[in-house]
Amino acid sequence: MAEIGASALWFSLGVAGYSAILAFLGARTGNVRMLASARNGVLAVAGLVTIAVGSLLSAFLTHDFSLAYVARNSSRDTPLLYILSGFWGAEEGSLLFWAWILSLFAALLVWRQRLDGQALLPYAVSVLMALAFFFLLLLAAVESPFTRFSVPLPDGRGLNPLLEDPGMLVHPPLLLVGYVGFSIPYAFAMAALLTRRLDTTWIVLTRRWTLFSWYALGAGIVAGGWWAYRTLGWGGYWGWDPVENSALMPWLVATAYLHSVMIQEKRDMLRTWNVLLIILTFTLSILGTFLTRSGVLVSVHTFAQSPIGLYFLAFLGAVLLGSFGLLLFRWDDLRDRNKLDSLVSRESAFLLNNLLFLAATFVVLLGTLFPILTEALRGTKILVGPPYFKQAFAPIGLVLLLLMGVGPLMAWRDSSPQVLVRNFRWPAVGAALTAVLLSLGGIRRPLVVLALAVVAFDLVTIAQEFHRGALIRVRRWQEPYWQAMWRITVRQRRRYGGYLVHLAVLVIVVGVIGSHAYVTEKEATLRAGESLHVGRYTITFQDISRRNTSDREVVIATVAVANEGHPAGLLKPERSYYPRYQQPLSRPAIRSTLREDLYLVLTSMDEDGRAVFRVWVNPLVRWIWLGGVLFTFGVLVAAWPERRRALGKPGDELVRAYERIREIELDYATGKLAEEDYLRLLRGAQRLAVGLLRQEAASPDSGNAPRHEGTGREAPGWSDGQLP
Amino acid sequence: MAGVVLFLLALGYVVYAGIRSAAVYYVTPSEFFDLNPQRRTTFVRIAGRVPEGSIRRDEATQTWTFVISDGRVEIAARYQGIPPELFVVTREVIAEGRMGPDGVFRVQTLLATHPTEYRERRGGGP
Repeated sequence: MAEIGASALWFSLGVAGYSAILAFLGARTGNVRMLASARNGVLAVAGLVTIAVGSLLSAFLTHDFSLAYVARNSSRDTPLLYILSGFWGAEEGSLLFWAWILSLFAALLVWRQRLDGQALLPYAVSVLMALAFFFLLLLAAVESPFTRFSVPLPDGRGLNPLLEDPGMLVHPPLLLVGYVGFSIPYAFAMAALLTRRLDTTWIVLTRRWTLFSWYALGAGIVAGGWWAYRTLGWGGYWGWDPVENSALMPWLVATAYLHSVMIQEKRDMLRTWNVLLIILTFTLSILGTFLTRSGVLVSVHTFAQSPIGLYFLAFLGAVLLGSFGLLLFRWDDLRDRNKLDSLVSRESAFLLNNLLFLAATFVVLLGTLFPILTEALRGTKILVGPPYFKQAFAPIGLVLLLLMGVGPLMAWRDSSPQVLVRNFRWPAVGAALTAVLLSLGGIRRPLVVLALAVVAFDLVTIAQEFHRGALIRVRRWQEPYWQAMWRITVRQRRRYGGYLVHLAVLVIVVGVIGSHAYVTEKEATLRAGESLHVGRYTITFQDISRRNTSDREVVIATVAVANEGHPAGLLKPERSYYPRYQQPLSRPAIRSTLREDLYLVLTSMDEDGRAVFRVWVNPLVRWIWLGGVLFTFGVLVAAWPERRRALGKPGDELVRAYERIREIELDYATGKLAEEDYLRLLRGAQRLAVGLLRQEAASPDSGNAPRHEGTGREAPGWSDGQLP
Repeated sequence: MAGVVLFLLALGYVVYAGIRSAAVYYVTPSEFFDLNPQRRTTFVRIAGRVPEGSIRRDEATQTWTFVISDGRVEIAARYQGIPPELFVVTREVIAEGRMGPDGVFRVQTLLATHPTEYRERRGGGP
């Protein structure tokens, strides 16, 4: 079986190279047959890599320990489900997973369309196949997952016990899908540069891919925190570890990108900037894969010994050089059509948001690479640990948090003072009230109060947006309030889905603030029957039980918990020893409530039956996981396909004219536009739409135009179909 | 333009202050003695191997003494508290702390490393 997988990799390598070249040449020369062949190649690569994946999986399932990768990452005792975490838990497997997802995404892209007659797609496909070529080259020639041991082991070493956790089933694939997914908008950006089609087409075409990848990466980060919290037993969920940081960086830049494309779509500004951001997002994704897999972080010197390190560095260099070279070549085509009108506008809020996200990325990047940089420059490694990240990240995060509330209150182009007063009034009241209430309630640490006041500001902003949106429909259509709110949300999914994502971020932020600012931690050695007081809790060590399975020896402590004197159940922290791995592992027992988590770890046991416990009371941690769920919901709302009634396909000028009118109406109704601006903009947009309608009525093909089926076209303005 | 400059200055300050307060030298025992003598009394992180049999434990005070070595130079170290579980099993450690006047390295944080990952354990205190 393994031979099939290995040869499938070699074949797919050849086909990927072939498709990359043919797609490019075909697009250049307009040769339809070349393009068709390239398309077949893309599908074939996906098929071949899938065969390789299947072959590796079957080696895992049949316990073929003659394969080094299988032997190192599973054993006969590994539960079936966690075979999967073995599959993507180490270097070769995760590279194979990368290549697999990439090939599937590329196949999905061309599945229902041909390459000819499309401006950007063939070039994008060419770029994607070139990327696939690199990964397949690594897999086939350098780090093959199908390498055999010369002397097969009778039994595998087993999966690292830390990876045997549900968190590990979702966390790595989510991260990898996120990393890989960004290659699609990146490929389209390159295609746009190559073809000089630098309008919003490439952005609109890849909007859903971007959102999806951004979501996967974000959710992967939260899932990683959840796994660390439940498994590692140090009481926290985020340690500013290089591996965590390398997922955070592309996510931060992608977040900037998601915001700045809105400016390009609405105002045709920031063309260069957006291309730049997507290049950066993608290279940081590559860097993330590279940092976690090359060993460069251990030391610059080990990196040279790791076989894939140099390949990755060369690849990264080629991607950067190629992308930025192309960007410079097209500098003139990237000139913006519009300029920033005012500093007090939505655009400038977005710009500041972008700068801050980049600054945050820089902070993380510098901190992550600091030991490598100092070792290379000065010969000694200097580390900057969590204190650096916390100290440098906090002010940036705080301003970003404030912008999250301020941005949506700003009007496009220019915000007049009356509009500002009207929009800022309630959020400001909410913030002030929160600050007062918190200090009355005994929470007085200035930073915490400030941060929570800003959170309150943002919350009121979001509530106000929903409220005002609903009121439009209540007034116009006499709809019941909640129905109106539901309808406005589904009619303007991107906007209100975005607000739901903001809400999710706020929930997470509250959790992060609570669990950072008010942790209680204690450690004690207890004999059976002895108790320890932590915060409102009293824990009493009752007894120990032991259980041995084929792969581990488990010690389980039974601990009674009392909450302010009232019995609150039992907790059973475990400590396992894995003889094969020579590794002990303490699994914490967590009593989780919305208010706080009681986090109990059995650190060690001695011969006389004394047990060492470490106990944390971590406030509000659960909010972080809840925020993750809400995040999923918000993204679903924002990305759900919109039904378009009586309108042409997206990109159609008329559609945009209609959308513009909707926007203006909604902005006016939610207080983002002053009266006179509103009338001026609305008249302009209506004139444009009417002009387009006339044009179309006059054109010969309008009589049987199939793209506007259904109801007739109404005059632009308010109607049910176009209601915001 | 002035805004951008101001922004970069603020960013520079935030990063600089962060690094100043959190920078920790990360050295092997040999490199430690190559450091400028003033540096040797600051907070550093030393990575090395604990030779077999060098670990002593004082039951009453929960104090552990051991040696961190890179094969050429050895540093005596002392740690108070409960060491990470891997400390006993593998013999690779990363110790964060300060060199005392008596030439014994006071460990504040002890990380026992494992070939693929490490687990952190804060404890003791100065």
